[in-house]
Amino acid sequence: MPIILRLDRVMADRKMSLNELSEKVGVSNVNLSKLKTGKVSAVRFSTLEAICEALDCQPGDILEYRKDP
Amino acid sequence: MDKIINSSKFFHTACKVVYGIFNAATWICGVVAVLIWVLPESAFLGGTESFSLGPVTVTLVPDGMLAPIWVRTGFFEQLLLCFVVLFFSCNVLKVIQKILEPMTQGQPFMDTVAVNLKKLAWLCLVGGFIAELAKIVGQALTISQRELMHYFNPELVENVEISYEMDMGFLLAFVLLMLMSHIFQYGQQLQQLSDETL
Repeated sequence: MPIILRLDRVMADRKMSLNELSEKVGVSNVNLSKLKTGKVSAVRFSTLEAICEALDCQPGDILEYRKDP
Repeated sequence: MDKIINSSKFFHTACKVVYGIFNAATWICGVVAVLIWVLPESAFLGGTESFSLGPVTVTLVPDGMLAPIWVRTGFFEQLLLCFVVLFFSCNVLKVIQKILEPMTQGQPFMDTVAVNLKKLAWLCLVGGFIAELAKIVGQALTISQRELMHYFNPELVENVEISYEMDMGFLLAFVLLMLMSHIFQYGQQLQQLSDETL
């Protein structure tokens, strides 16, 4: 998929664990893990907002577009 | 949502019960249909005999009854017809149970529902066609075993003609069920998209 999620990188920068982020965002560990590994097909703005607020970052820090070769 | 789950559970249980009854009846029909050929001819003497011409039922006096071999054959035909109808009904009930199962868990848009709706559609088409054909064949056999004019006053009745009609309602059921399966298939795709949306 051309959209890549860099959630693990930002979490490492902020030294935040998956459990912590899950509690702050209100999304289960399982779903956040799916998000980290790119196994979701869409993200709601409300979820993206909650993640950016929890990690104090911009959507562009988490999402990257890479064209398919 | 709870209402849908509860009503699905109720219908699922009802289907199970009816399936059990029909399954038992299917076996009984099959066994009796075989046993009929073992019984002596005397078992088919006496009593009353009647046959149907559409909505009309004709009950015969002893002199007008068929020979025991034909009575036996008539019983066998009826039991065979019952066996076929019950067998198809059991399969239909099984498929309906499979359709209701995901609904009892609050997940109506699983891929099994669309697949089983298609199966049900084909069962209705094939079963409906066979049932109608069996009805016509049964009527034709009933008539062929008797000389119908024999039962009417020749001074009043010149001729008796039989016409066979096929009820094509099963075609409509097939079309509607196929449409429903396509709708549920689309619903399943939307559900998957929703499930994969965080």
